[in-house]
Amino acid sequence: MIERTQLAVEVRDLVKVYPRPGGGMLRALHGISFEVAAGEFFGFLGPNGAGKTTALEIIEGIRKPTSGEVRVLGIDPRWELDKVKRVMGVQLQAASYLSLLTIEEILDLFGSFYPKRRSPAELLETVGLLDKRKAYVRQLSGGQQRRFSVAAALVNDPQVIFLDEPTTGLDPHMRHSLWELLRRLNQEEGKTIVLTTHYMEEAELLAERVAILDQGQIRAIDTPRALIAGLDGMGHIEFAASQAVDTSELAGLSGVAGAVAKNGSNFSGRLGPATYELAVTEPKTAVTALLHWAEGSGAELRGLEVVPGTLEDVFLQLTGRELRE
Amino acid sequence: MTAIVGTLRMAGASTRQLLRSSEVWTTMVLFPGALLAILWLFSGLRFEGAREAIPLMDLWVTGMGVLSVALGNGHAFLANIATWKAGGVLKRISVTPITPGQLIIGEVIPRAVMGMITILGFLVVGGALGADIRIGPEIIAVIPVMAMVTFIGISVAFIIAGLTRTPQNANALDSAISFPLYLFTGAMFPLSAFPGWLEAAARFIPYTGLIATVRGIVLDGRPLTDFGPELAIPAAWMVLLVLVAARVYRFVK
Repeated sequence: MIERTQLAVEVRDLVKVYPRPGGGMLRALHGISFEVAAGEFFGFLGPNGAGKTTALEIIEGIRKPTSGEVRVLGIDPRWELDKVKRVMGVQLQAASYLSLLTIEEILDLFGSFYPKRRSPAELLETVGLLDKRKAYVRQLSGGQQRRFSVAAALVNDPQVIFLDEPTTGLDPHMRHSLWELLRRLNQEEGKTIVLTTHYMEEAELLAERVAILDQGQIRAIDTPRALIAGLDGMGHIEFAASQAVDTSELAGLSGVAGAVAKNGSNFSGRLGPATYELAVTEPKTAVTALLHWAEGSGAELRGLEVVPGTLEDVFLQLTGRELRE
Repeated sequence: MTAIVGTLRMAGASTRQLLRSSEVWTTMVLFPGALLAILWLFSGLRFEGAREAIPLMDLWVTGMGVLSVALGNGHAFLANIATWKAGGVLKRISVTPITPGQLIIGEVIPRAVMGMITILGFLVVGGALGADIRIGPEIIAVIPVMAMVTFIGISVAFIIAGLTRTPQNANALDSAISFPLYLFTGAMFPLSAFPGWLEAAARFIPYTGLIATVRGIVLDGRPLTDFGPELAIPAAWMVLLVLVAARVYRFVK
Protein backbone atom coordinates (compact mmCIF):
# COMPACT_ATOMS: atom_id res chain seq x y z
CA MET A 1 0.00 0.00 0.00
CA ILE A 2 1.23 3.52 -0.72
CA GLU A 3 1.53 6.42 1.71
CA ARG A 4 -1.39 8.80 1.90
CA THR A 5 1.01 11.76 1.86
CA GLN A 6 2.31 10.73 -1.56
CA LEU A 7 0.75 12.30 -4.66
CA ALA A 8 -0.95 9.81 -6.96
CA VAL A 9 -1.81 12.30 -9.70
CA GLU A 10 -0.40 15.75 -10.39
CA VAL A 11 -1.74 17.90 -13.21
CA ARG A 12 -0.31 21.34 -14.00
CA ASP A 13 -1.71 23.87 -16.48
CA LEU A 14 -3.13 21.19 -18.74
CA VAL A 15 -4.28 22.55 -22.10
CA LYS A 16 -5.83 20.55 -24.92
CA VAL A 17 -6.78 22.07 -28.25
CA TYR A 18 -8.44 20.02 -30.99
CA PRO A 19 -8.80 21.07 -34.62
CA ARG A 20 -12.49 21.37 -35.48
CA PRO A 21 -13.65 19.26 -38.45
CA GLY A 22 -14.99 22.37 -40.21
CA GLY A 23 -11.90 24.48 -39.48
CA GLY A 24 -10.83 26.46 -36.45
CA MET A 25 -9.80 25.12 -33.09
CA LEU A 26 -11.70 23.78 -30.09
CA ARG A 27 -10.13 24.45 -26.72
CA ALA A 28 -11.21 21.43 -24.68
CA LEU A 29 -9.08 22.19 -21.61
CA HIS A 30 -8.04 25.67 -20.51
CA GLY A 31 -5.00 25.03 -18.34
CA ILE A 32 -6.43 22.94 -15.50
CA SER A 33 -4.35 22.06 -12.43
CA PHE A 34 -5.08 19.70 -9.54
CA GLU A 35 -3.54 17.01 -7.38
CA VAL A 36 -4.87 13.72 -6.06
CA ALA A 37 -3.30 12.20 -2.95
CA ALA A 38 -2.47 8.51 -2.83
CA GLY A 39 -5.45 6.61 -1.42
CA GLU A 40 -7.87 9.44 -2.15
CA PHE A 41 -11.22 9.04 -3.91
CA PHE A 42 -11.34 11.99 -6.27
CA GLY A 43 -14.31 12.97 -8.44
CA PHE A 44 -14.58 15.02 -11.61
CA LEU A 45 -18.08 16.40 -11.84
CA GLY A 46 -19.34 18.15 -14.93
CA PRO A 47 -21.85 17.98 -17.77
CA ASN A 48 -21.19 16.20 -21.07
CA GLY A 49 -18.58 18.08 -23.07
CA ALA A 50 -17.01 19.68 -20.00
CA GLY A 51 -13.61 18.09 -20.75
CA LYS A 52 -13.68 15.31 -18.13
CA THR A 53 -12.87 12.48 -20.53
CA THR A 54 -10.22 14.52 -22.35
CA ALA A 55 -8.49 15.28 -19.04
CA LEU A 56 -8.65 11.65 -17.96
CA GLU A 57 -7.40 10.31 -21.28
CA ILE A 58 -4.42 12.66 -21.20
CA ILE A 59 -3.55 11.46 -17.72
CA GLU A 60 -3.90 7.84 -18.91
CA GLY A 61 -1.56 8.58 -21.83
CA ILE A 62 -4.19 7.89 -24.50
CA ARG A 63 -4.07 11.49 -25.74
CA LYS A 64 -1.25 13.98 -25.85
CA PRO A 65 -1.71 17.36 -24.18
CA THR A 66 -1.22 20.55 -26.17
CA SER A 67 0.71 21.86 -23.16
CA GLY A 68 0.98 21.27 -19.45
CA GLU A 69 2.34 18.54 -17.24
CA VAL A 70 0.98 15.28 -15.88
CA ARG A 71 2.47 12.85 -13.39
CA VAL A 72 1.00 9.56 -12.19
CA LEU A 73 2.78 8.39 -9.02
CA GLY A 74 5.58 10.74 -10.06
CA ILE A 75 5.87 9.26 -13.57
CA ASP A 76 5.31 11.38 -16.69
CA PRO A 77 3.13 9.39 -19.13
CA ARG A 78 4.58 11.29 -22.10
CA TRP A 79 8.03 9.81 -21.53
CA GLU A 80 7.42 6.67 -19.49
CA LEU A 81 4.01 5.48 -20.58
CA ASP A 82 4.90 1.83 -20.09
CA LYS A 83 5.68 2.45 -16.43
CA VAL A 84 2.40 4.34 -15.97
CA LYS A 85 0.47 1.54 -17.65
CA ARG A 86 1.85 -0.92 -15.12
CA VAL A 87 0.60 1.01 -12.08
CA MET A 88 -2.77 2.26 -13.34
CA GLY A 89 -6.09 0.60 -14.03
CA VAL A 90 -8.40 2.12 -16.61
CA GLN A 91 -12.11 1.80 -17.20
CA LEU A 92 -13.01 3.69 -20.36
CA GLN A 93 -16.35 5.38 -20.89
CA ALA A 94 -17.01 3.32 -24.04
CA ALA A 95 -14.96 0.22 -24.62
CA SER A 96 -15.53 -3.20 -26.10
CA TYR A 97 -13.59 -6.38 -25.62
CA LEU A 98 -12.53 -9.25 -27.84
CA SER A 99 -15.89 -10.70 -28.78
CA LEU A 100 -15.06 -14.41 -28.99
CA LEU A 101 -13.19 -14.72 -25.71
CA THR A 102 -15.05 -15.43 -22.48
CA ILE A 103 -14.79 -12.83 -19.74
CA GLU A 104 -12.48 -15.13 -17.79
CA GLU A 105 -10.21 -15.50 -20.84
CA ILE A 106 -10.14 -11.75 -21.41
CA LEU A 107 -9.05 -11.13 -17.82
CA ASP A 108 -6.45 -13.87 -18.13
CA LEU A 109 -5.14 -12.36 -21.38
CA PHE A 110 -5.06 -8.79 -20.07
CA GLY A 111 -3.47 -9.92 -16.82
CA SER A 112 -0.72 -11.70 -18.75
CA PHE A 113 0.46 -8.33 -20.11
CA TYR A 114 1.55 -7.20 -16.64
CA PRO A 115 4.30 -8.33 -14.28
CA LYS A 116 1.86 -8.18 -11.36
CA ARG A 117 -1.61 -9.63 -11.80
CA ARG A 118 -4.73 -10.79 -10.00
CA SER A 119 -6.41 -14.06 -10.87
CA PRO A 120 -9.49 -13.85 -13.11
CA ALA A 121 -11.53 -15.88 -10.61
CA GLU A 122 -10.69 -13.47 -7.79
CA LEU A 123 -11.58 -10.45 -9.94
CA LEU A 124 -14.85 -11.96 -11.10
CA GLU A 125 -15.68 -12.82 -7.52
CA THR A 126 -14.97 -9.22 -6.50
CA VAL A 127 -17.43 -7.83 -9.04
CA GLY A 128 -19.99 -10.60 -8.52
CA LEU A 129 -19.61 -12.21 -11.93
CA LEU A 130 -17.94 -15.51 -11.07
CA ASP A 131 -20.96 -17.50 -12.23
CA LYS A 132 -20.73 -15.76 -15.62
CA ARG A 133 -17.08 -16.56 -16.19
CA LYS A 134 -17.78 -18.65 -19.32
CA ALA A 135 -19.96 -15.95 -20.89
CA TYR A 136 -18.94 -13.62 -23.70
CA VAL A 137 -19.15 -9.89 -22.96
CA ARG A 138 -22.13 -9.50 -25.30
CA GLN A 139 -24.07 -12.04 -23.23
CA LEU A 140 -23.85 -9.83 -20.11
CA SER A 141 -26.43 -7.22 -19.19
CA GLY A 142 -25.46 -3.52 -19.28
CA GLY A 143 -24.79 -3.48 -15.56
CA GLN A 144 -22.76 -6.66 -15.70
CA GLN A 145 -20.70 -5.24 -18.57
CA ARG A 146 -19.90 -2.16 -16.47
CA ARG A 147 -18.87 -4.34 -13.56
CA PHE A 148 -16.76 -6.44 -15.88
CA SER A 149 -15.00 -3.33 -17.20
CA VAL A 150 -14.16 -2.42 -13.59
CA ALA A 151 -12.78 -5.95 -13.10
CA ALA A 152 -10.69 -5.51 -16.26
CA ALA A 153 -9.31 -2.29 -14.80
CA LEU A 154 -8.08 -4.25 -11.78
CA VAL A 155 -6.20 -7.06 -13.57
CA ASN A 156 -2.79 -5.62 -12.71
CA ASP A 157 -3.74 -4.83 -9.10
CA PRO A 158 -3.21 -1.12 -9.90
CA GLN A 159 -2.35 1.56 -7.39
CA VAL A 160 -4.39 4.19 -9.21
CA ILE A 161 -7.73 3.48 -10.89
CA PHE A 162 -9.30 5.81 -13.46
CA LEU A 163 -13.02 5.36 -14.03
CA ASP A 164 -14.79 7.31 -16.74
CA GLU A 165 -18.51 7.58 -15.95
CA PRO A 166 -18.67 4.01 -14.65
CA THR A 167 -22.35 4.05 -13.74
CA THR A 168 -23.85 5.92 -16.70
CA GLY A 169 -26.89 4.11 -18.00
CA LEU A 170 -27.20 1.78 -15.03
CA ASP A 171 -30.40 1.33 -13.07
CA PRO A 172 -30.35 2.57 -9.45
CA HIS A 173 -29.82 -0.92 -8.02
CA MET A 174 -26.82 -1.62 -10.26
CA ARG A 175 -25.45 1.84 -9.56
CA HIS A 176 -25.58 1.27 -5.81
CA SER A 177 -23.91 -2.10 -6.11
CA LEU A 178 -21.08 -0.58 -8.17
CA TRP A 179 -20.73 2.26 -5.65
CA GLU A 180 -20.29 -0.33 -2.90
CA LEU A 181 -17.58 -2.05 -4.89
CA LEU A 182 -15.72 1.21 -5.54
CA ARG A 183 -15.97 2.24 -1.90
CA ARG A 184 -14.55 -1.13 -0.88
CA LEU A 185 -11.64 -0.81 -3.31
CA ASN A 186 -10.85 2.62 -1.93
CA GLN A 187 -11.41 2.06 1.77
CA GLU A 188 -10.39 -1.57 2.23
CA GLU A 189 -7.72 -1.96 -0.45
CA GLY A 190 -6.41 1.61 -0.32
CA LYS A 191 -6.71 2.19 -4.07
CA THR A 192 -6.55 5.74 -5.35
CA ILE A 193 -9.64 6.30 -7.47
CA VAL A 194 -10.20 9.11 -9.94
CA LEU A 195 -13.74 9.03 -11.25
CA THR A 196 -15.63 11.23 -13.69
CA THR A 197 -19.36 11.54 -13.45
CA HIS A 198 -22.25 13.79 -14.27
CA TYR A 199 -24.28 12.36 -11.40
CA MET A 200 -23.94 14.77 -8.53
CA GLU A 201 -25.17 12.21 -5.99
CA GLU A 202 -22.42 9.85 -7.12
CA ALA A 203 -19.73 12.49 -6.63
CA GLU A 204 -21.25 13.52 -3.32
CA LEU A 205 -21.48 9.97 -1.96
CA LEU A 206 -18.17 8.57 -3.15
CA ALA A 207 -15.62 11.32 -3.60
CA GLU A 208 -13.57 12.78 -0.78
CA ARG A 209 -12.85 15.77 -3.02
CA VAL A 210 -14.61 16.93 -6.14
CA ALA A 211 -13.43 19.12 -9.00
CA ILE A 212 -16.27 20.84 -10.81
CA LEU A 213 -15.35 21.04 -14.45
CA ASP A 214 -17.20 23.16 -16.95
CA GLN A 215 -16.19 24.19 -20.47
CA GLY A 216 -12.66 22.96 -19.93
CA GLN A 217 -12.09 24.84 -16.71
CA ILE A 218 -12.09 23.80 -13.06
CA ARG A 219 -14.65 26.08 -11.43
CA ALA A 220 -14.16 24.77 -7.91
CA ILE A 221 -12.32 22.00 -6.14
CA ASP A 222 -12.94 20.88 -2.55
CA THR A 223 -14.75 18.31 -0.44
CA PRO A 224 -18.46 18.02 -1.33
CA ARG A 225 -19.33 19.26 2.17
CA ALA A 226 -17.15 22.37 1.79
CA LEU A 227 -18.49 23.11 -1.67
CA ILE A 228 -22.08 22.86 -0.45
CA ALA A 229 -21.31 24.90 2.66
CA GLY A 230 -19.96 27.61 0.39
CA LEU A 231 -23.31 28.01 -1.34
CA ASP A 232 -25.01 31.39 -1.02
CA GLY A 233 -28.34 29.61 -0.73
CA MET A 234 -27.93 26.90 1.84
CA GLY A 235 -30.75 24.77 0.57
CA HIS A 236 -34.33 24.58 -0.58
CA ILE A 237 -37.82 24.52 0.83
CA GLU A 238 -40.36 22.65 -1.23
CA PHE A 239 -44.12 22.66 -0.68
CA ALA A 240 -47.46 22.48 -2.44
CA ALA A 241 -50.01 25.23 -1.86
CA SER A 242 -53.78 24.90 -1.78
CA GLN A 243 -54.07 28.03 -3.91
CA ALA A 244 -51.96 29.78 -6.51
CA VAL A 245 -49.26 31.97 -5.05
CA ASP A 246 -47.32 34.91 -6.47
CA THR A 247 -43.67 33.85 -6.34
CA SER A 248 -42.52 37.43 -5.92
CA GLU A 249 -44.25 37.43 -2.53
CA LEU A 250 -42.39 34.26 -1.56
CA ALA A 251 -39.08 35.60 -2.84
CA GLY A 252 -39.50 38.61 -0.58
CA LEU A 253 -39.70 36.56 2.61
CA SER A 254 -36.91 36.76 5.12
CA GLY A 255 -34.17 34.13 4.51
CA VAL A 256 -35.42 33.38 0.99
CA ALA A 257 -33.16 34.08 -2.01
CA GLY A 258 -35.57 33.10 -4.77
CA ALA A 259 -38.79 31.29 -5.52
CA VAL A 260 -40.06 29.29 -8.46
CA ALA A 261 -43.30 27.52 -9.23
CA LYS A 262 -42.73 23.98 -10.45
CA ASN A 263 -44.89 21.39 -12.24
CA GLY A 264 -43.95 22.84 -15.61
CA SER A 265 -45.49 26.25 -14.89
CA ASN A 266 -43.17 29.11 -15.72
CA PHE A 267 -45.17 31.14 -13.27
CA SER A 268 -46.43 34.38 -14.57
CA GLY A 269 -48.92 35.05 -11.84
CA ARG A 270 -51.86 33.05 -10.65
CA LEU A 271 -51.98 29.90 -12.76
CA GLY A 272 -53.60 27.65 -10.18
CA PRO A 273 -52.26 25.22 -7.54
CA ALA A 274 -48.64 24.22 -7.99
CA THR A 275 -45.62 23.14 -6.02
CA TYR A 276 -43.05 25.73 -5.14
CA GLU A 277 -39.37 25.70 -4.48
CA LEU A 278 -37.64 28.37 -2.48
CA ALA A 279 -33.88 28.81 -2.53
CA VAL A 280 -33.03 29.72 1.06
CA THR A 281 -29.98 31.23 2.67
CA GLU A 282 -31.19 30.70 6.23
CA PRO A 283 -33.54 27.72 6.40
CA LYS A 284 -34.79 28.33 9.94
CA THR A 285 -35.64 31.99 9.33
CA ALA A 286 -37.19 31.15 5.98
CA VAL A 287 -39.46 28.42 7.40
CA THR A 288 -40.68 30.74 10.14
CA ALA A 289 -41.32 33.53 7.65
CA LEU A 290 -43.12 31.15 5.29
CA LEU A 291 -45.42 29.84 8.03
CA HIS A 292 -46.26 33.38 9.08
CA TRP A 293 -46.97 34.34 5.50
CA ALA A 294 -49.22 31.27 5.02
CA GLU A 295 -51.18 32.08 8.14
CA GLY A 296 -51.66 35.66 7.02
CA SER A 297 -52.60 34.85 3.43
CA GLY A 298 -54.83 31.87 4.26
CA ALA A 299 -52.79 29.54 2.03
CA GLU A 300 -52.59 25.95 3.18
CA LEU A 301 -49.10 24.47 2.78
CA ARG A 302 -48.81 20.73 2.06
CA GLY A 303 -45.78 18.44 2.12
CA LEU A 304 -43.44 21.14 3.34
CA GLU A 305 -39.88 19.87 3.15
CA VAL A 306 -36.50 21.47 3.84
CA VAL A 307 -33.91 20.08 1.41
CA PRO A 308 -30.23 20.73 2.05
CA GLY A 309 -28.05 22.13 -0.76
CA THR A 310 -26.41 19.74 -3.21
CA LEU A 311 -23.54 19.76 -5.65
CA GLU A 312 -26.17 20.43 -8.30
CA ASP A 313 -26.76 23.79 -6.60
CA VAL A 314 -23.03 24.38 -6.42
CA PHE A 315 -22.77 23.77 -10.16
CA LEU A 316 -25.74 26.03 -10.83
CA GLN A 317 -24.26 28.78 -8.73
CA LEU A 318 -20.83 28.49 -10.34
CA THR A 319 -21.94 28.26 -13.95
CA GLY A 320 -25.48 29.62 -14.04
CA ARG A 321 -26.58 26.37 -15.70
CA GLU A 322 -28.07 23.06 -14.64
CA LEU A 323 -25.66 20.12 -14.50
CA ARG A 324 -27.70 18.12 -17.00
CA GLU A 325 -28.64 20.86 -19.43
CA MET B 1 6.58 -9.41 -19.75
CA THR B 2 8.90 -9.61 -22.73
CA ALA B 3 7.76 -8.41 -26.13
CA ILE B 4 7.82 -11.98 -27.41
CA VAL B 5 5.64 -13.33 -24.60
CA GLY B 6 3.10 -10.53 -25.12
CA THR B 7 3.03 -11.17 -28.87
CA LEU B 8 2.55 -14.90 -28.38
CA ARG B 9 -0.23 -14.24 -25.88
CA MET B 10 -1.99 -12.06 -28.46
CA ALA B 11 -1.39 -14.73 -31.12
CA GLY B 12 -2.92 -17.35 -28.80
CA ALA B 13 -5.97 -15.17 -28.19
CA SER B 14 -6.35 -14.49 -31.92
CA THR B 15 -6.10 -18.19 -32.71
CA ARG B 16 -8.74 -19.01 -30.12
CA GLN B 17 -11.02 -16.33 -31.56
CA LEU B 18 -10.45 -17.53 -35.12
CA LEU B 19 -11.26 -21.11 -34.25
CA ARG B 20 -14.51 -20.02 -32.62
CA SER B 21 -15.57 -17.83 -35.52
CA SER B 22 -17.44 -18.75 -38.66
CA GLU B 23 -14.69 -16.89 -40.52
CA VAL B 24 -12.37 -19.86 -40.35
CA TRP B 25 -14.86 -22.04 -42.24
CA THR B 26 -15.67 -19.33 -44.74
CA THR B 27 -12.02 -18.55 -45.45
CA MET B 28 -10.64 -22.07 -45.35
CA VAL B 29 -13.46 -24.23 -46.65
CA LEU B 30 -16.50 -22.51 -48.14
CA PHE B 31 -14.89 -19.83 -50.27
CA PRO B 32 -11.98 -21.92 -51.63
CA GLY B 33 -14.36 -24.83 -52.19
CA ALA B 34 -16.81 -22.69 -54.16
CA LEU B 35 -13.97 -21.11 -56.14
CA LEU B 36 -12.52 -24.50 -57.03
CA ALA B 37 -15.93 -25.76 -58.10
CA ILE B 38 -16.32 -22.76 -60.41
CA LEU B 39 -12.79 -23.15 -61.81
CA TRP B 40 -13.44 -26.82 -62.48
CA LEU B 41 -16.23 -25.80 -64.88
CA PHE B 42 -13.50 -24.25 -67.04
CA SER B 43 -11.03 -27.12 -66.68
CA GLY B 44 -11.16 -27.94 -70.39
CA LEU B 45 -10.35 -24.40 -71.55
CA ARG B 46 -6.93 -22.94 -72.41
CA PHE B 47 -5.76 -19.37 -72.52
CA GLU B 48 -4.40 -18.78 -76.04
CA GLY B 49 -1.96 -15.87 -75.89
CA ALA B 50 0.39 -14.55 -78.56
CA ARG B 51 3.38 -16.25 -76.91
CA GLU B 52 1.87 -19.24 -75.13
CA ALA B 53 -1.19 -21.39 -74.51
CA ILE B 54 -1.92 -22.17 -70.85
CA PRO B 55 -4.68 -24.35 -69.38
CA LEU B 56 -7.01 -22.00 -67.49
CA MET B 57 -7.17 -24.46 -64.60
CA ASP B 58 -3.40 -24.18 -64.07
CA LEU B 59 -3.49 -20.41 -64.37
CA TRP B 60 -6.42 -19.84 -62.08
CA VAL B 61 -5.77 -22.44 -59.39
CA THR B 62 -2.35 -20.94 -58.79
CA GLY B 63 -3.18 -17.26 -59.46
CA MET B 64 -6.65 -16.88 -58.05
CA GLY B 65 -5.87 -19.31 -55.27
CA VAL B 66 -3.00 -17.20 -53.97
CA LEU B 67 -4.80 -13.91 -54.43
CA SER B 68 -8.09 -15.05 -52.93
CA VAL B 69 -6.30 -16.34 -49.83
CA ALA B 70 -4.45 -13.02 -49.47
CA LEU B 71 -7.46 -10.84 -50.10
CA GLY B 72 -9.87 -13.06 -48.17
CA ASN B 73 -7.58 -13.01 -45.18
CA GLY B 74 -6.97 -9.27 -45.45
CA HIS B 75 -10.67 -8.58 -45.93
CA ALA B 76 -11.71 -10.63 -42.89
CA PHE B 77 -8.98 -9.07 -40.79
CA LEU B 78 -9.92 -5.57 -41.96
CA ALA B 79 -13.54 -6.18 -40.96
CA ASN B 80 -12.25 -7.20 -37.52
CA ILE B 81 -9.92 -4.30 -36.86
CA ALA B 82 -12.25 -1.68 -38.34
CA THR B 83 -14.92 -2.94 -35.94
CA TRP B 84 -12.45 -3.09 -33.06
CA LYS B 85 -11.44 0.48 -33.74
CA ALA B 86 -15.00 1.79 -34.00
CA GLY B 87 -16.11 -0.20 -30.96
CA GLY B 88 -13.24 0.82 -28.70
CA VAL B 89 -11.50 -2.58 -28.43
CA LEU B 90 -8.22 -1.09 -29.63
CA LYS B 91 -8.51 1.87 -27.30
CA ARG B 92 -8.94 -0.54 -24.41
CA ILE B 93 -5.89 -2.53 -25.52
CA SER B 94 -3.93 0.72 -25.87
CA VAL B 95 -4.03 1.29 -22.10
CA THR B 96 -2.33 -2.05 -21.51
CA PRO B 97 1.40 -2.55 -22.10
CA ILE B 98 0.68 -4.22 -25.49
CA THR B 99 2.03 -2.21 -28.46
CA PRO B 100 0.45 -1.91 -31.93
CA GLY B 101 3.38 -3.95 -33.31
CA GLN B 102 2.66 -6.82 -30.91
CA LEU B 103 -1.02 -6.68 -31.79
CA ILE B 104 -0.26 -6.77 -35.53
CA ILE B 105 2.16 -9.69 -35.29
CA GLY B 106 -0.15 -11.50 -32.89
CA GLU B 107 -2.89 -11.28 -35.52
CA VAL B 108 -0.62 -12.16 -38.44
CA ILE B 109 0.71 -15.43 -36.96
CA PRO B 110 -2.56 -17.43 -36.84
CA ARG B 111 -3.75 -15.92 -40.12
CA ALA B 112 -0.50 -16.77 -41.86
CA VAL B 113 -0.86 -20.35 -40.64
CA MET B 114 -4.48 -20.40 -41.80
CA GLY B 115 -3.41 -18.96 -45.19
CA MET B 116 -0.71 -21.60 -45.64
CA ILE B 117 -3.03 -24.47 -44.79
CA THR B 118 -5.70 -23.05 -47.10
CA ILE B 119 -3.40 -22.58 -50.08
CA LEU B 120 -1.84 -26.02 -49.64
CA GLY B 121 -5.33 -27.55 -49.54
CA PHE B 122 -6.38 -25.43 -52.52
CA LEU B 123 -3.42 -26.58 -54.60
CA VAL B 124 -3.88 -30.24 -53.66
CA VAL B 125 -7.61 -30.23 -54.47
CA GLY B 126 -6.96 -28.13 -57.59
CA GLY B 127 -4.46 -30.77 -58.69
CA ALA B 128 -7.01 -33.50 -58.09
CA LEU B 129 -9.53 -31.58 -60.21
CA GLY B 130 -7.22 -31.39 -63.20
CA ALA B 131 -4.65 -28.63 -62.66
CA ASP B 132 -1.10 -29.74 -63.41
CA ILE B 133 0.13 -29.18 -59.83
CA ARG B 134 3.22 -31.01 -58.59
CA ILE B 135 2.22 -32.51 -55.28
CA GLY B 136 5.51 -33.37 -53.66
CA PRO B 137 8.03 -32.08 -51.17
CA GLU B 138 8.55 -28.95 -53.35
CA ILE B 139 5.12 -27.71 -52.35
CA ILE B 140 6.59 -26.89 -48.92
CA ALA B 141 8.49 -24.04 -50.62
CA VAL B 142 5.12 -22.32 -51.06
CA ILE B 143 4.85 -21.79 -47.29
CA PRO B 144 7.26 -18.82 -46.94
CA VAL B 145 5.69 -17.23 -50.02
CA MET B 146 2.27 -17.50 -48.42
CA ALA B 147 3.64 -15.96 -45.23
CA MET B 148 4.66 -12.93 -47.34
CA VAL B 149 1.24 -12.93 -49.02
CA THR B 150 -0.47 -12.86 -45.60
CA PHE B 151 1.84 -10.19 -44.22
CA ILE B 152 1.19 -7.91 -47.19
CA GLY B 153 -2.57 -8.53 -47.06
CA ILE B 154 -2.75 -7.69 -43.35
CA SER B 155 -0.49 -4.63 -43.65
CA VAL B 156 -2.78 -3.30 -46.39
CA ALA B 157 -5.74 -3.98 -44.09
CA PHE B 158 -4.08 -1.96 -41.30
CA ILE B 159 -3.41 0.94 -43.70
CA ILE B 160 -7.01 0.93 -44.92
CA ALA B 161 -8.27 0.83 -41.33
CA GLY B 162 -5.91 3.70 -40.48
CA LEU B 163 -7.06 5.85 -43.39
CA THR B 164 -10.80 5.35 -42.96
CA ARG B 165 -13.10 6.38 -40.16
CA THR B 166 -15.84 3.76 -40.31
CA PRO B 167 -16.03 0.02 -41.07
CA GLN B 168 -18.25 0.86 -44.07
CA ASN B 169 -15.64 3.20 -45.60
CA ALA B 170 -12.94 0.62 -44.92
CA ASN B 171 -14.97 -2.03 -46.73
CA ALA B 172 -15.59 0.24 -49.72
CA LEU B 173 -11.89 1.13 -50.07
CA ASP B 174 -10.89 -2.51 -49.68
CA SER B 175 -13.28 -3.58 -52.46
CA ALA B 176 -12.04 -0.81 -54.74
CA ILE B 177 -8.45 -2.02 -54.29
CA SER B 178 -9.20 -5.75 -54.53
CA PHE B 179 -10.95 -6.01 -57.86
CA PRO B 180 -8.16 -4.57 -60.09
CA LEU B 181 -5.70 -6.90 -58.39
CA TYR B 182 -7.39 -9.94 -59.97
CA LEU B 183 -6.93 -8.34 -63.39
CA PHE B 184 -3.45 -6.88 -63.16
CA THR B 185 -1.38 -9.29 -61.01
CA GLY B 186 -1.49 -12.14 -63.48
CA ALA B 187 -3.97 -14.02 -61.30
CA MET B 188 -6.56 -14.36 -64.10
CA PHE B 189 -4.55 -13.67 -67.26
CA PRO B 190 -0.84 -14.28 -67.92
CA LEU B 191 1.30 -11.16 -67.80
CA SER B 192 2.62 -12.09 -71.23
CA ALA B 193 -0.79 -11.27 -72.66
CA PHE B 194 -0.60 -7.66 -71.42
CA PRO B 195 0.74 -4.79 -73.52
CA GLY B 196 4.45 -4.31 -72.82
CA TRP B 197 4.09 -1.19 -70.69
CA LEU B 198 1.32 -2.78 -68.60
CA GLU B 199 3.29 -5.97 -68.12
CA ALA B 200 6.25 -3.92 -66.84
CA ALA B 201 4.03 -1.88 -64.52
CA ALA B 202 2.20 -4.98 -63.24
CA ARG B 203 5.47 -6.47 -61.98
CA PHE B 204 5.57 -3.71 -59.35
CA ILE B 205 2.28 -4.81 -57.79
CA PRO B 206 3.22 -6.63 -54.56
CA TYR B 207 1.26 -9.81 -55.34
CA THR B 208 2.50 -10.25 -58.94
CA GLY B 209 5.90 -11.68 -58.04
CA LEU B 210 4.39 -13.88 -55.33
CA ILE B 211 1.89 -15.41 -57.75
CA ALA B 212 4.67 -15.97 -60.31
CA THR B 213 6.77 -17.69 -57.63
CA VAL B 214 3.98 -20.03 -56.54
CA ARG B 215 3.34 -20.89 -60.19
CA GLY B 216 7.01 -21.56 -60.83
CA ILE B 217 7.23 -23.85 -57.79
CA VAL B 218 4.08 -25.89 -58.23
CA LEU B 219 3.70 -25.93 -62.02
CA ASP B 220 7.32 -26.03 -63.17
CA GLY B 221 8.95 -27.56 -60.10
CA ARG B 222 11.57 -24.82 -59.83
CA PRO B 223 13.24 -24.17 -56.47
CA LEU B 224 12.43 -21.09 -54.42
CA THR B 225 15.95 -19.78 -54.92
CA ASP B 226 15.18 -19.21 -58.61
CA PHE B 227 12.82 -16.42 -57.73
CA GLY B 228 15.08 -13.75 -56.23
CA PRO B 229 14.01 -10.97 -58.60
CA GLU B 230 10.30 -11.91 -58.36
CA LEU B 231 10.43 -11.90 -54.57
CA ALA B 232 12.54 -8.74 -54.22
CA ILE B 233 9.69 -6.42 -55.18
CA PRO B 234 7.12 -7.95 -52.75
CA ALA B 235 9.79 -8.02 -50.03
CA ALA B 236 10.40 -4.30 -50.51
CA TRP B 237 6.64 -3.74 -50.50
CA MET B 238 6.32 -5.72 -47.31
CA VAL B 239 8.81 -3.48 -45.48
CA LEU B 240 7.24 -0.32 -46.90
CA LEU B 241 3.68 -1.41 -46.09
CA VAL B 242 4.56 -2.34 -42.50
CA LEU B 243 6.22 1.06 -42.01
CA VAL B 244 3.25 2.88 -43.52
CA ALA B 245 0.81 0.75 -41.49
CA ALA B 246 2.66 1.58 -38.27
CA ARG B 247 2.55 5.28 -39.22
CA VAL B 248 -1.07 5.65 -40.31
CA TYR B 249 -2.65 3.20 -37.91
CA ARG B 250 -3.68 4.50 -34.53
CA PHE B 251 -5.24 2.61 -31.65
CA VAL B 252 -7.49 5.56 -30.89
CA LYS B 253 -9.87 7.34 -33.29
